[in-house]
Amino acid sequence: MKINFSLSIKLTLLVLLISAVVIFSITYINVTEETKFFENAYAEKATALTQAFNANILSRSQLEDKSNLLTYITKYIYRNPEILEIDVNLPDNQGKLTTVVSSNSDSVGNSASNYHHSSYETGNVYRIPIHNGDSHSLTIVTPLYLSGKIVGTYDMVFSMNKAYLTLDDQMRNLIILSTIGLFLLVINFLYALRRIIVKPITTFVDATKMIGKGNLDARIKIDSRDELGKLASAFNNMTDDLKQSRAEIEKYSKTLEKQVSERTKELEESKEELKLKVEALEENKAAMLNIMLDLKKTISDLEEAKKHINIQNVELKAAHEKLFLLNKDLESKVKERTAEVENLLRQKDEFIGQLGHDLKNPLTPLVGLLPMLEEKEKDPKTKEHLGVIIRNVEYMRDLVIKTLQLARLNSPRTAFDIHDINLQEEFNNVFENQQILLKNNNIVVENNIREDIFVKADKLRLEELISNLLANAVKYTVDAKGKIIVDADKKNGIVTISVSDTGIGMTEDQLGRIFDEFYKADGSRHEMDSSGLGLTICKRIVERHGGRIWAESLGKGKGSTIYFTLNGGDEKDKE
Amino acid sequence: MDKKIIFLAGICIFLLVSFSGCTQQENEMDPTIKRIQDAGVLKVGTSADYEPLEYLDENDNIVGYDIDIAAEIADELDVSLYVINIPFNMTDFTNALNNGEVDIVISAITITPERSEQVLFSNAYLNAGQVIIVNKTNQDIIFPEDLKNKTVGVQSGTTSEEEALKYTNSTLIIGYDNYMMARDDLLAGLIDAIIIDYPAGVGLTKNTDLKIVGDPFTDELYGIALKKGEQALKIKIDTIIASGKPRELENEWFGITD
Amino acid sequence: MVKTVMVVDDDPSIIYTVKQGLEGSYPDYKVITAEDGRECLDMLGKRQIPDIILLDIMMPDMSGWETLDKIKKNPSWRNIPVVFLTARTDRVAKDAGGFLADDYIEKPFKIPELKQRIDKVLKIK
Repeated sequence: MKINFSLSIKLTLLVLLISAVVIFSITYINVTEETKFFENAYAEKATALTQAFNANILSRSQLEDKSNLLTYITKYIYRNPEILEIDVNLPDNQGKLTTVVSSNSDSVGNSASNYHHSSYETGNVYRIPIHNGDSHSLTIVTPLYLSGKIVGTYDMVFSMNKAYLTLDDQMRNLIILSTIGLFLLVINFLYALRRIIVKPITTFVDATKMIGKGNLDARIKIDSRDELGKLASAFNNMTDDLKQSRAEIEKYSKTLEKQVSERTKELEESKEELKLKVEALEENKAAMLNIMLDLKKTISDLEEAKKHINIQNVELKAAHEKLFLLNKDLESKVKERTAEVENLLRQKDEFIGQLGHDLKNPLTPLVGLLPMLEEKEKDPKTKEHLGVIIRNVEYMRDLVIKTLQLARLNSPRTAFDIHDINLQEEFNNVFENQQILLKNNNIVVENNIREDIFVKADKLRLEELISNLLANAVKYTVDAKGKIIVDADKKNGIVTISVSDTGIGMTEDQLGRIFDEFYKADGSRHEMDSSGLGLTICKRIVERHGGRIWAESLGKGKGSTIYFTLNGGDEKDKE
Repeated sequence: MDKKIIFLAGICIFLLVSFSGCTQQENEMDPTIKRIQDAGVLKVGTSADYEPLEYLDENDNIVGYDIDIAAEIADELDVSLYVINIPFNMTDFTNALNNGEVDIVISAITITPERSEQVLFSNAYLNAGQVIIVNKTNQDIIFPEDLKNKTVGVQSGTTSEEEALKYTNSTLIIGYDNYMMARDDLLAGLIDAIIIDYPAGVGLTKNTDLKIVGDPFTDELYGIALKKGEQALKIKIDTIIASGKPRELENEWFGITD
Repeated sequence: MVKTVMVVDDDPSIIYTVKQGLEGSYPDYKVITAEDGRECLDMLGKRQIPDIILLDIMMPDMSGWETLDKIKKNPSWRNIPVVFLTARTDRVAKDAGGFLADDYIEKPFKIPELKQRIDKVLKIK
């Protein structure tokens, strides 16, 4: 019950406090407002009555006829019961306002108050409320007009008692009512509080206690859907879960027990086995002892052997070192030799290069100028001599160039710069460079190589290769309307190129030997200015690119085709 | 727990009620009122010869409209009523008031300035104008102007007498001590008409062959006479008058009959 | 239209062959000669601007490389096409011939060959 006490009291006091403050404020405000309102309304009415009074005083004679005036005043009061008293003030001989006629004869002869004098002078109307204990009145002081001029003043006293008493009553009633209301509110509030909050909380506490004692069947029964209801259902769920958990735990514990007993049984069995094993072991122990003795002996033997090995090890080491030193010696010797060889090779290449230069330069005038001379020579005999000279000069030129080429190809120092090269382009280049040769021999070339075929090759070497093949084809196609066709086919990354001519063709025997050094198809025809090295060079170039080269012919007079293979390339690395 | 709450609430109510009680202030007692209350009786003077305002009933009790008003005043002061019969005479009335024989005089006294010099009047509690009473058979007299050259009976020394003078020759005006005598003469045909206050007229014509002709043709404002200076008592009485009690009593006493 | 060819070579025979060969066979060709790189640059400096320069690589004093370098560095001369005359057939020459010069021709060459090479280069330009 302690919980109830705190909660209820706190909340109740709070509600009480708030309500009391509210009610009192409202009451007070109401009453003061009503009072003010009433006073104002009353004052309005009073003023109206006051003015109506004046309206009826038409002439001075009326004023001077005291009897008449008194009657008028008395009647006016009779007709308007709110009026308690009417005094009419006129100035006396000294000009001082004095009450000449009044419903209250005791007032006759009294000097008028300052209000009257002020009103007489300024024409202002004054409202003077007077509260004297139980009696509440309102006096209105007004100037008395006659023909538009202020001739005196009069005042009317209005009783406000009735209303004030009513107000007091009202206020009292209101307070009592509100207090009763407050009281009822509190009772109701408490009741509601009890029902909505306190009882559920008590239920909660009880349920929790029951659960604490181990009774997991306790459930909180709260029907409302508010927070308490939610709390209750959550609590109930929790209890359900607890119950379930407990059941599971029990189940699990039972399982565990069973397992434990099983294991225990197993353990017992194992124990028995162990016992037997131990007995067996004891027996083995004896045997072990014997073995140990043998082992000891073996160990000592091994020790001796180890000593021997160590000695041998040392000898080995020495031999190793000797080898190492020998190796080093050899290496340096090899290096020397290699360097010497490199040097020699370099010297050789330099020599050849220089030789080449020295041979080629003098040949230039010969090659360049002799044809001009021959052309211009009119004398047939001289012309014939020149012709022979030119042919031999050509032969020498060819020999020099080709020999140097071959020497370079044979040299291991010569590096190949492999790039992806467009085959079609390359053939066209060579054709262009050899235009004169082709034109002079009336040869038509046909380039059937597709533009998308690339090969991996050294550009310069490829040029040499193609030039030599072309020169070769031209040489053996001496009849008019000769044709050279080049083609290429790419398969499995290998490009096979063919250079065909419509020349004199070759025999089986010739096909095999054309690639030999200094081999000429027709040994006797020494007028040919070929060195016989052309195809040899081609072979060397192709083989150094990792390809194959061979010739085919359908027979004498049926033209020949030289085939060679190179590795295929891509456009990416195009030179 | 409930008990505690009820206890708390009870305290609150108690506090509130006593608080509201504070709005009332203590009255300062006027000596006259105090004297009357201490005596426990209000002494009222009246001339019980003017039905229905004040007259003697069959048991010789002084009753009437005015007496009822006096009773109201006594109630208000929370004292009992004691009525003294004094023949209508302002001087007698004034003396009775001044020597304390009576506290108030209520006797259908018309408020006039002259009387106001002698006594203090409350505010008017009844406007009983003058009416003309004639025999039921009389058809000639309806308005005051019709009284010309007619004999008119009045109670001597009253405003009725004054009014009569306005409309007929003074020689034709007969002054009576009381209206009963005038009535008898009218019934006998010795006079033509009577001029009397309306309420009294009602009483006079009750159960007779006389009738009131027309409406009241004057204003007669009755006031209760007090000793001059008795302001507190006057206020008390004025308050009762203002509350409308006399009007209620009017209906009881002056409801038109026949 | 006359094509002016400058030939720069330390071997007089070469100069002779080129001059006689081109001028003799092709009337619209005019050949001016220099025996070394310095003379070549002098001539260029004297506003003797040819349509094409045939430049020998292996020269004493200023080599073909050096001469070429100087020519390319000069904004007035850089656009003159240069063809190497080379007896050297090693890699370096040929590569350079390809890259730095516009073309190269190997000695010994026939005059028509030379003319064809010159025309090719001039056409491209």
